Amino acid sequence: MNRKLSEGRGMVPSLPSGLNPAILQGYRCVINSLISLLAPQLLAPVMLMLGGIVPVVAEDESSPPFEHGAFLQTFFESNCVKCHGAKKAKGGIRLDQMGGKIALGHDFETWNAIHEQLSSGEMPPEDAKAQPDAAERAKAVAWIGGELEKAHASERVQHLLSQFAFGNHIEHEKLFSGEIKDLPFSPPRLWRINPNIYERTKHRILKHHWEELQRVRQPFALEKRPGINDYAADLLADSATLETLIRNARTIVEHQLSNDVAEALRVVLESEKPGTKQIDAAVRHQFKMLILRPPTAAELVRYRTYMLRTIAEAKSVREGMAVCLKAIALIPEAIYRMELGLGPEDQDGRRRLSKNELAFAISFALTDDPPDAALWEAKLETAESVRTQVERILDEDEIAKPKILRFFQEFFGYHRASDVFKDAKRYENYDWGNVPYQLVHEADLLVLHILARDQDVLHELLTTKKYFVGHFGSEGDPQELEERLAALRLLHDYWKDKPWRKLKYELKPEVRADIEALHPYFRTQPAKHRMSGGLIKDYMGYLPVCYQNGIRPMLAQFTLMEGERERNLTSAHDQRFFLNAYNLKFDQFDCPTEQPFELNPKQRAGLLTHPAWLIAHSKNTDTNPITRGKWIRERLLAGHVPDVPITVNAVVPEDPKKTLRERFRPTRQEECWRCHKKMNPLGMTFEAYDDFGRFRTADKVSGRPIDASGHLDSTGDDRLDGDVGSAVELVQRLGQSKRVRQSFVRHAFRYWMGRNEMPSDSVTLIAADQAYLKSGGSFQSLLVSLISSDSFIYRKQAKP
Amino acid sequence: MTPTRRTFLKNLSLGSGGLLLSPLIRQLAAEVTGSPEAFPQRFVFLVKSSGLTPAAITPKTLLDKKPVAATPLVASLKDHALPDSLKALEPFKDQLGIVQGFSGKMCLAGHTSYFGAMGVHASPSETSSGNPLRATLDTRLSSRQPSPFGHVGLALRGRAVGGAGDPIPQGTIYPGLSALAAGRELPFQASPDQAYDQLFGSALGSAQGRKRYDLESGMLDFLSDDIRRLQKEVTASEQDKLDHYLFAFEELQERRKKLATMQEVIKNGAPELTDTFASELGTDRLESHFTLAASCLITGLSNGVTIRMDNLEHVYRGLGLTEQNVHAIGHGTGSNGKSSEECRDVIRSYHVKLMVGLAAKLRSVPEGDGTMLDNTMIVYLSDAGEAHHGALHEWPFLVLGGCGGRLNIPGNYIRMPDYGNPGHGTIGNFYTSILNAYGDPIEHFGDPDFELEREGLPQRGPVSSLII
Repeated sequence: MNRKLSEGRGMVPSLPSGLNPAILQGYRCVINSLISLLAPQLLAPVMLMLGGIVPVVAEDESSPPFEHGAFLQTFFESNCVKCHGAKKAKGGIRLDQMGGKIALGHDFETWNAIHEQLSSGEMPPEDAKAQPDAAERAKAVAWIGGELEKAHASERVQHLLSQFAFGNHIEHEKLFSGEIKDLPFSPPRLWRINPNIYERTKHRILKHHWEELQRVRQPFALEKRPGINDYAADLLADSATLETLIRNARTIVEHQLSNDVAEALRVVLESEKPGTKQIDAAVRHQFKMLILRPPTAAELVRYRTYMLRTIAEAKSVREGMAVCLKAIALIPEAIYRMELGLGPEDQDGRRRLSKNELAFAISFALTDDPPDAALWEAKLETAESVRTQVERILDEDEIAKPKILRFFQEFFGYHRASDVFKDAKRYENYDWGNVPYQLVHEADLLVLHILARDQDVLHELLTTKKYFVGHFGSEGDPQELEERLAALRLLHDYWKDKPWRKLKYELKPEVRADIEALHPYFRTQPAKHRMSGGLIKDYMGYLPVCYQNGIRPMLAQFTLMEGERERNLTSAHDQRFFLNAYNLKFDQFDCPTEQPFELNPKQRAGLLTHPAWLIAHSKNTDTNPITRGKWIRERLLAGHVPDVPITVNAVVPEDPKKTLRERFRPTRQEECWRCHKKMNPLGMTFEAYDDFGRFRTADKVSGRPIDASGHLDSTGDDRLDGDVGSAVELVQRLGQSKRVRQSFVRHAFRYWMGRNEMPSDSVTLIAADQAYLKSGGSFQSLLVSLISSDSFIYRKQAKP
Repeated sequence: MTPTRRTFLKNLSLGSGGLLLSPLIRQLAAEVTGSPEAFPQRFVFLVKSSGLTPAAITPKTLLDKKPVAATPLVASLKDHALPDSLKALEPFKDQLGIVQGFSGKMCLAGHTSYFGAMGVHASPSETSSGNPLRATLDTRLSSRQPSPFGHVGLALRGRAVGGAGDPIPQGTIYPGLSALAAGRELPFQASPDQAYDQLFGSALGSAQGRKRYDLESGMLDFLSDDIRRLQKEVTASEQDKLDHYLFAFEELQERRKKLATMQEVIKNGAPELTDTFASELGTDRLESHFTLAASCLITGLSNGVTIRMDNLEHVYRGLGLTEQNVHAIGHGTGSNGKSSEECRDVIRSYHVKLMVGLAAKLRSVPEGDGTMLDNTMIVYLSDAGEAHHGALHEWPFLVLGGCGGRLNIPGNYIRMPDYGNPGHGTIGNFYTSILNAYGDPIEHFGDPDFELEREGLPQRGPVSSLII
């Protein structure tokens, strides 16, 4: 951190050329008040993203008057205002009121929409009496387009475009055309520590001390918004974060000085007047534990001096040292990862990440842990040496790489299934509680299985016919599972004539001994997974049904470990409930020991027909064709659907005699359909599943048959575009699309770079896409390409 | 100057610990502005475990009374004797409300509903409090009444189910009851002595507490310097991030400065630090928490306190119930020669006594034409609804205090039409009424009950008859 980097973009970015002085003046206003001047319809989502910390300030009255000239005004008046004026304001748009602050980013979304509608010829509508001539239209389109380009320089638009929701605003074709030859880079940045990294750090220090673990709370929690959440641009540490951090620091340091005290700290504690060397060792220790690296020479001096001072002030070695140790837990680097680009600068003005920066960046790209010894030792001076390290980490099975699965969770969003509040009673009167967790777990298993094979990964994810249901995962050895089933049979025979209903949760030692004598399996279980009275009761309610019907039972799954979060997944009892989401019945489901296995291929294909995805993209009591359609449009087709205009109260009319598709009829109205046509034809194909993800042919409420037909467009491939009869057909076509593949690459880019792509990332994106393609769809190849790319390694201030 | 005020000032000049400066300042301010709005509103939530049995808090003379048609039954308590376990509340009957009949079936039923009890949503399971989906009622109310410490959480024990075993927990704990926002749980302090240091440590506190406080103040300054130094080394866009972090430090320092200006108030208002604050006996600790809560409100350090009264593992040794814990008693086991019901009465009477003690302290502080209690709402509820294993068809509440004259609750027994009947309301409706009455314009607080929705019963918005 010894290099000043303030010569990059200052608080006032370089001014776009061609703006008149009035606009320039307004431009400064915008910079000063930044987000507070956002158009109201854009403010709401931004407020949400920033957790409501943005003060709402009234529109700046000093903004300059609109200078669009008589031409555009006349153009609007003669062609548009009849429908988009004070009287009708169709779609909530009033063109008689559009302020001309395009270049300042005012009404950016609306101006974008106007530009899109005019240039595509969709507006004015065909049946409108007045139509502009081609030259007029072209002139209007050119003018608005020019101003929009200028608007990209405004901080307001820069901020918007840095949000995940605006990622697709960069033209897809251009990004992958190969015409952009710019050298890629990321802006230098501070990136707030990922919550999972903090969890790991906490466990490393507190180990098994349960009470302290409970007390140390997550200061960096991410909202579970749809899409990719861990973006460097919009994660801030506020006072709530700080208060949590201070509270945590108290607990952590108190623990460090009381339990399993580290040698470096013990020496200071036991000394009446600790010397420089001893204090240095303590500071080094704390940096290693919390900042995950040794202190720099300057830091060492600073904290040594501070600790000496606090010990003197406190008149107590323990109290004084505690303050300094707490302070280290709160330094900016404990909050933000520094990716400033402290390495050498190249001829293009790009700075490489320094060796340390790069080691952290690589390690945190794949794991939640600091760099391992091999990574610290690696030189990392070339893309090749970065690639070698990434490949090594990917290859080493012992290194946990949870970040990869998390990408697929965030990309598909199926992990949000448990967040959708459901009416349990409609789920066949079954207990809903653990069902979504189990379904998410099984979707995870499927993703991990496909990743382990690492061939045609995206295609497989979208179209696989095989699923995990009631299973441990692909690592479960079928032979071993057969053994366990044999053990269960013995358990059943042992208990069937005994009073198992009277069992208490804790088994008596003699009973336990009897069970363990039945089969070696019961001896090999770790203590917490051992048979309990409750589990035996669960099994005894379930096994007789299985044996009677000649089906293989499911084995109870106990816990899923993921960092600290260890939850009871399913007991044998709970397992019966989630089967329903796959249209399976527990007394008929013959659980295959070899999984994944084929479910009904006419009903299910890939993750988008997995109950977890369907539930995550459903409403409390209904399906959600709009969200599902929007998801496909934006995640897979690289398209963009604007938010609902604030003037539209989008409510689906209630009518028990109609299916949801029929109730959506009002969206066919012209002003609605402009956006809805981007979503409904895609999302409606999933109407073949109810809001619990169960396949259906008729709507339960209206009793009417389900129409699951739809339409695919904009794949850029005539063979794929066109009508589809079902969701299964839709996902099969999506699975073949180049555009879908590239959109997937774009999202992987966003996740691993922690930002939206810029035009200058074109080379990185094309290389990643090619790496994936040439390797036969290997996700690892894609990942290696991304993490060793210039976008990952170089830092340069982006020009607005 | 009214006689009350004269007495008050006289007491103040004599240095009486119970009477303080800050309410006086508020009172003067109220007189200057001529508006009772100048008085902050205070909120205390007392959350017990193991359910609050409706019949046990209903006057015998009202036990058989049910609402007629779709309107709530409202009866003035002055015409009815309180049940035995509420006897201590007789002198406060004019400011007591007994509220019954609101359901909470959108929450997880069973031993506890965790955040659901005050946040109106389901938690994932009995053993997991899950993530709070929104700010809970208690913190949401007090967020509109700013104070140096915001909402304060004090707890005898942690989560209702699956706590850490018999020893009473120490330090910061997370009982899964209150949330400041979605995903942000309110921390509770389980050790009264630590709470004392944290709340009053800026002016008083143990010698060690004071020293730590001062050292931490120094640490905040030291770190602010660190951040400023780093700021010079990063680009403008990243400076913003550090600005935010720096601002967070400044906010904390600001609070410390504010506390520094309140030294006299704190000194006068802080309770005496006795051995009971560090006692291992549950009843001692709970009483200490109540003492802290009263001082906290009276000094104005906070306008909102939630107290976690116990949990299912707690054994009320101090009440002579040494044989069984709250869980066993809830499941019908007697203890120390008393039946389960008798044990529950003993515990409830004890809770009521604590509540009355708190109310009495607030009533001793004059405010405007009345007392501080007039501008306070104390809510006593369970995190499990109406029974040890609540089915949540109803969720009983005791409400004590004048509620700022905003609610038609003080002095009344209120019973909503039964679950599923026209006019029935959920705790979502009840909480919406309270929030609206206190100026929070929220349309509806909490999740819906789908069963009622299927029945076509409206369940959005406040119960307007409760709001004045």
